Amino acid sequence: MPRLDRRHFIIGVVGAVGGGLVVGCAKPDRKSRVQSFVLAPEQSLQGQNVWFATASAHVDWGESVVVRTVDGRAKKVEGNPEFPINQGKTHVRSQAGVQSLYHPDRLKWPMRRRSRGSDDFEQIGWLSALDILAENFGPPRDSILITGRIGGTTARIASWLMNSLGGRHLVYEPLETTALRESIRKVFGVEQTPHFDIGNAHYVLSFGADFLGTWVSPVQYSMAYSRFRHGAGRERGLLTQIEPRMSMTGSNADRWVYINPGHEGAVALSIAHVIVREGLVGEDVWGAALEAVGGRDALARYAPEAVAGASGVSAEDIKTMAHEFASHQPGIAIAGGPALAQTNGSDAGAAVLLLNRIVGSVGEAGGVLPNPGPPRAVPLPMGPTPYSEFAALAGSASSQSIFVYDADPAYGLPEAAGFKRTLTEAGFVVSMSTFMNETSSYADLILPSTHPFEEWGDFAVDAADGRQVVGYQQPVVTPQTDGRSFGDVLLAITPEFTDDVLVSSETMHEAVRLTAINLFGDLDPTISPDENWIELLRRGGYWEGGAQPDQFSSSPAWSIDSLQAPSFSGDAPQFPFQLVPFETVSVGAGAEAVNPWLQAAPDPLTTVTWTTWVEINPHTAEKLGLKRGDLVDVIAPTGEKIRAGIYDSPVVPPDVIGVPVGGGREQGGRWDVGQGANVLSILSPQVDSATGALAWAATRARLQKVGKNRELPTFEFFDDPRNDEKGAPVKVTSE
Amino acid sequence: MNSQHEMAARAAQKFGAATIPSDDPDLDQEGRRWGMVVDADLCTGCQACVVACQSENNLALNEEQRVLEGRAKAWIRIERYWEGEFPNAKARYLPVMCQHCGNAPCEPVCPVWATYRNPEGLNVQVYNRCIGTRFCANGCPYSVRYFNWWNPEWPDPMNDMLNPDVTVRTKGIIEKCTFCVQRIQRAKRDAVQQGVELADGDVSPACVQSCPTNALVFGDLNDENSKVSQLAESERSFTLLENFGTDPSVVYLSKVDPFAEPHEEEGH
Repeated sequence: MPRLDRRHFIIGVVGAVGGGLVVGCAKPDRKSRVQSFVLAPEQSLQGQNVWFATASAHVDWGESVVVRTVDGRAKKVEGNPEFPINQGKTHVRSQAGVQSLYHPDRLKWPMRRRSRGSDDFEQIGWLSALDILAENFGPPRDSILITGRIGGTTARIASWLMNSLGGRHLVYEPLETTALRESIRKVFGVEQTPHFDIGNAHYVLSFGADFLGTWVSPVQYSMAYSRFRHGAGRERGLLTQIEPRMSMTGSNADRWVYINPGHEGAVALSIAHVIVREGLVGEDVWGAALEAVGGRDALARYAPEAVAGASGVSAEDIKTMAHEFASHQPGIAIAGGPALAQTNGSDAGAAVLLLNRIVGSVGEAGGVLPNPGPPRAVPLPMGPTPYSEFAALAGSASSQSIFVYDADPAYGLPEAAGFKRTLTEAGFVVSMSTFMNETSSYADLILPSTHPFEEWGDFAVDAADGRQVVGYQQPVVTPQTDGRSFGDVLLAITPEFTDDVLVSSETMHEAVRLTAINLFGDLDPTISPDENWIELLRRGGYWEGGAQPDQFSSSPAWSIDSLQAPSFSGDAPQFPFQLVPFETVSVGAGAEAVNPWLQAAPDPLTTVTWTTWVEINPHTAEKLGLKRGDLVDVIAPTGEKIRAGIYDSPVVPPDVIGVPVGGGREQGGRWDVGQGANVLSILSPQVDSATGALAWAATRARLQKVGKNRELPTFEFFDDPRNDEKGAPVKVTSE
Repeated sequence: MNSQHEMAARAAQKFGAATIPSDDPDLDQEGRRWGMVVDADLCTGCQACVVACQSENNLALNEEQRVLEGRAKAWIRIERYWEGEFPNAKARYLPVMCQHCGNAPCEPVCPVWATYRNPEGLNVQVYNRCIGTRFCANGCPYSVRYFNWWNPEWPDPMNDMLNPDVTVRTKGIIEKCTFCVQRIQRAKRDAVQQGVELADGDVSPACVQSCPTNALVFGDLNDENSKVSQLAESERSFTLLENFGTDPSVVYLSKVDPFAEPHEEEGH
């Protein structure tokens, strides 16, 4: 090997460096690209996705979701694409499931109040908590269980518990739908909500039912609305909305008609009057139904000209709607919201639903169809208990022990109900919830509930699609707190069961699993019952056919003569405004206000976020010398008042004010306490005369200027050049 | 190649890189142009898309003060327009997000090429290149670019819900709708792993996936068989600010109002 001398070393180094420079400076074969950071592999490859089908955490109409988890943490909620009720879609509230799951202000452990009237709580363990619960909830005290609209195995267990204790189970729903259920019972003779086949209808006549936002099953109806408008091979359906304040559904209607609150039943009967009088539909269609409710004579006093004055709906509009409804069949007439929250609510609902029988759309595709009942072991969500029963609790509070789960009547019931006093005087109060709420602030014992994404459950869908639909709920992550599910707590304290499944179940997991296996364990006979159970969990439920639909009654069990004129709390001169509380699509009746995503989601019509506002007609505001954001006190005849800023809205009638519910929380989390005001608290205790349900839209009010202005947090701040263009930025065509 | 793209390309080449204008014939294009159709007749204003987007893309919480300051971020927002007066007043909804323009006013004004058009028609924002001049936000006629005035905060354990596929944006940079590019990437990767072509409907941005009325449809505008391209050919189609010549990848379908007064039909 030749020796490397100094000369050759230098030649070698220079050659190597020179060669390197030549190669390095040459034009590259390919252009180098400006590479987006978002294309970096690590941005799309982190962790392992695992999806779990379970129940939505924030809606009670039966929505199944799939939750994306990565490395044991829940990341995103999507609709369950296989579940028939929402088919991969979600309500806005369902999206917030992960936010409430990881909310920093969740109740973390059981707590006992050291002394009544104080806010001094001590942390205790579950064994102590269950001992205290078992010792105090039951005889000799009257046991009263108050829950939200629970169903499925949980409701079955609750039923056993309350039977064994000899107590009562009250179901609390803030904007209660008792009147709707009663009207369905009267007109169709069934307990379960029928299938309103909007997707195949040609006409929807809605009296206050915000079916695209908050009414009954809004995601299912929104999907149907898509077919109703632009389904393949059909004409675009027509939507008419009749209501005292424009709702989100009203804003999507082809025809929006203002009505004085409480006159919905009269206008519905007037439409029926026109259809019958003018023979728009053959007598063979409506004859029997009309005879059952009082015949032509009963309809006679509902001529359009007679109804127009009080209702505020012109005779011409009534006739137009009658002609459209009769000529666009199959069609559907539905009622909800403020239409049923009146002193004549359930009768008004019956009058509206009767229209379906008048035009012959009952039992027809595109009309109103019966739903099969649920499996006996998975009962439907319980219907609400009428307001009058909650008000009656005040009489004997000291002898009562009250257990409240997943409900906040101390927040939602009017002050006039005296429920806070009932809680103060009750012998024992226990509250179980995921977050602190107004009711739990009165409790002797506070139990932290697991989040819906941490627990087992099952549910039968009330407003199903004509099939029997059962959904399953399973934990998607390990519990974030030392909480337990309501069902597990009930199983722990129920003295004895005779139900075979519940006897052998120590946990909700077992109770739900065994119930499912009993019902569907042989669904696929080629696999084992346990494998069928796993398959049910994977799909999120069961919804095949098989059950025979309960048939509607042959004729309505209702009389036109039972419809009375509405009455209101407060006389018009002193209280010039009709107060229409309403539920926003995101915050709902208040329980969802804890989630900042939902607080910040704009109300579709006003774009207001985070607070309570008072919608008022712009001309009325001008007359009163009020401008956007001016604070007013809304004063009810009860003397109760709330304070909020005004929003001048062109879709509010001159003598109406609209106020969203859900604000003014005094307990909860960092994002909802102190935001806005609670309009439910000031309502007068007016009730539907037939059911005792709270007539929550039958209170009048007056406004008192405060003399201050506070800017409303709206999403109207965009300085958009499109606003400078002529005409509305949304292009409109007539066909 | 238009003059804006030429300027950007020359400047980038000077520094050894190249921008990727969609019409550069030298580029290895995959032939896709991601786009969206928004049917104004089906949007009900329900806000599901808004919250779905915030969840998927780790948007900072829009606390009340941020909304009051006009600094709330919503990569997709539903604009509401009033028409008329009571009792004939109407509300119209228009979901608005980044229009992913073919001729985007935001791109040439960025001094550091933090925003550019990628080969599949996305107007992409490179967060770690952005220096926060906000020129792009000022240049965008659709007001869909959002500046981070603060570092986002999620109180523990709320940060556990953050999507690991999406970068959390820090103070001082611009962010905006990406058409959920992370979902596009994942779908493409999954297709490669399964040895299949990406099919129409395989990619759904979070807003599209959640929309209960299917008012939003996403897909490849260059695929004549895709649903989105067929809808875009509808007689009802229009784009926002057509006279600006931005060539948006978002096509709107007009609201149908059978009782509209003749003057209302002039519209946009």
